Amino acid sequence: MADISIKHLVKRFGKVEAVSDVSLQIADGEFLVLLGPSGCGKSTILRVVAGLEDADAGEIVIGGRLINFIDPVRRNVAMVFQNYALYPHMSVYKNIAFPLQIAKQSKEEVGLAVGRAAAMLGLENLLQRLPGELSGGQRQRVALARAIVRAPQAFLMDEPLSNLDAQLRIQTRLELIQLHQRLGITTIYVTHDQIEAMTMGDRIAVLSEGVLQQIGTPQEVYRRPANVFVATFLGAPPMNLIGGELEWVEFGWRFRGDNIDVPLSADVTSPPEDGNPADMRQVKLGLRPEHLRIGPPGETGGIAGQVQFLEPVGSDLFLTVEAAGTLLQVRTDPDSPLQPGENVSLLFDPWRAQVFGPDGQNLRRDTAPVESAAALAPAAAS
Amino acid sequence: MMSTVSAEKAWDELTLSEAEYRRAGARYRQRRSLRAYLFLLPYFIPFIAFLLVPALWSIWLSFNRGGILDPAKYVGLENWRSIASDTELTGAIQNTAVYAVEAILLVFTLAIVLALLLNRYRKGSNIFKLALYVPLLAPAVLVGLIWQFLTNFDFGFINLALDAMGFDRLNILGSGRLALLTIVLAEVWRGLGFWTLYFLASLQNVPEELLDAARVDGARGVQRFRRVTIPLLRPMLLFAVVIAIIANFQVFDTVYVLTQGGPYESTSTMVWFIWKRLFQFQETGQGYAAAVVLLAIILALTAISFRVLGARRKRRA
Ligand SMILES: Nc1ncnc2c1ncn2[C@@H]1O[C@H](COP(=O)(O)OP(=O)(O)OP(=O)(O)O)[C@@H](O)[C@H]1O
Ligand SMILES: [Mg+2]
Repeated sequence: MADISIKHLVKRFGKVEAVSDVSLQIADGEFLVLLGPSGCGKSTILRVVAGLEDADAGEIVIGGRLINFIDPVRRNVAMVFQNYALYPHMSVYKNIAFPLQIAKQSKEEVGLAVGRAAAMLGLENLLQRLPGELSGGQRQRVALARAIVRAPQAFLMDEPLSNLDAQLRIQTRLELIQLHQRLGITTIYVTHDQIEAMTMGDRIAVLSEGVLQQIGTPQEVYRRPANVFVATFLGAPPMNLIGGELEWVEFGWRFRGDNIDVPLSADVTSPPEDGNPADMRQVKLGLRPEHLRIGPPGETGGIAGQVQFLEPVGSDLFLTVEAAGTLLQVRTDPDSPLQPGENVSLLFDPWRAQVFGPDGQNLRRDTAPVESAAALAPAAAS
Repeated sequence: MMSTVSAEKAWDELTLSEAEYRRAGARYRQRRSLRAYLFLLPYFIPFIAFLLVPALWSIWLSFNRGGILDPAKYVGLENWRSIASDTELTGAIQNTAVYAVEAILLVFTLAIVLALLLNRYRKGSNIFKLALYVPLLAPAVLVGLIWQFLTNFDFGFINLALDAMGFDRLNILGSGRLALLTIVLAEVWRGLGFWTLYFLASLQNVPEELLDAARVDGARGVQRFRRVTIPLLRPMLLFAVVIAIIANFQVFDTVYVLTQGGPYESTSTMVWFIWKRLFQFQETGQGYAAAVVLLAIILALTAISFRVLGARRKRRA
């Protein structure tokens, strides 16, 4: 067991910079989720940590030991590969047993450990099959079993649940959380599934195009997105953004835009020192769909709008409302009697609103979790 | 950036200076490649002793007279001048080229077709594989003798068959074109088993799911073969072409047994030419010069093969 520090990691493939100056500190026993869209460099980071790719710059420290120049064989990490990488010539049993046999464990120990891993992932009936005779989800579970069958310094998991059906995914997710609680092994877990990220991670690191955007607990990242990218990447549907300007009026901020003039709480950003700075002219107001409430038209402090579409998804009803010169998503009660064409006003608690500056960064000062320097988006730094 | 971390050293501060990092990285990569070189060493020693040194020695001897039994005497470009104007050598180069193109094209075509059939119809295929492979086990001289019997004017199987069907007998090894063709056929017959198994193994390495995908994408048999199988076989094909060029440009034993380069030098190949200069005419210098020419031709053809068939850019999976 060990903590992992990734310091100013850079990895290039020819001209493509897959990872740009990413720094992450992962505490001993922490479960860190790497979240980001396809191609943002998540797998590359894992492969560098595992030693399968050489870093172009930056250091990887595991348990206080600089491992950049240590052979992958001796790094003692277990990895679940995105494309499974099962040994096609070995049965499921042998695949799972492989790391233990390499470590020269006794036959009984191996059998016991394989049995436990297989039971946890529901593979008991498949042990004698070859990988070629399994479905995608079954293969993925074998890959997972092969990783968790031993207790390495760290787990590196590259979208280990992406191919499981919804039910199995929830179940395996829980199993993994329990496993992590039981063993407490430091884990870097890659996913682009937000639910997984939110439910599993002690902290989430959000990446875009090789650049770390934000790192924090799921709540922090969700409630106080560091920039427009994080705000719109997390949440389904994503945070609504409304263009306009910010103005300091009588000890408080107001947001003004197309058909919108609302008060915000004083802490969306620091008060101006003298007059209204120019960079408050082009800001974006961010409001989550679930933070918008529907009120009767003409309500004071509300945003006037007209309902366009309804999207019932069972537990919720998502409304598309034309307001403030754009289309806003609103989450509401599925039993709401609203119909398209109806005029409404949208209300929200001012303290829930986020405001993003012209550079896309959140203007709120406390966006970054204080304990971690890595929280600052490198895009803004240097 | 953050005020809280300024008090003590920031955790993300690098421990190695840029120079140290570069040095450690270089050492790490060196260790990895050193291991590779160690494994290559047992190969390099005989390579240097038995290939590189003799090759360089031959180049040196091509500027000398003698050198095998009697001491070498430097004669400058004399050997090169005499082989340059020797029509037997130009003829031998031409014969070798014609032979190699015919033999390689024929044996590869047949081998790929057979491999495709064997790959498709697995039942009883082992018997065929065995039958195809047996000629390779026979020594080249024996193969030559077999073909001599087949093509003999008086009692050869081919002429007996022609006779029986009412055709005129053919003096096969006595006419230049047919004699060269006989050498082609003998070598093809000998190599067919090996190349069939080689291409069969290559075909079985093509992932079935890619062919499945091509099937679903609407590619018919020939299209699948041309657009999926062949590109995937490229590296194997490159190896096959290079090996076949090297082997066939050195064709010798069948020539020796069947025709002795005749009639009228019409089946004289490069190695036959070299052999004659070295061991029959005592013109060792000319033999070495011709050997250097052969080496240059083979190297050039190998380079061209790599150019045409080689991987564009290596990509990791
Ligand atoms: N071997 C390689 N050669 C060249 N470019 C590469 C290579 N591997 C990855 N890349 C590029 O590096 C970037 C990051 O790739 P990576 O596989 O880390 O993405 P990812 O975040 O894991 O995406 P996904 O969620 O789709 O798996 C991509 O732009 C990709 O095209
Ligand atoms: Mg990936």
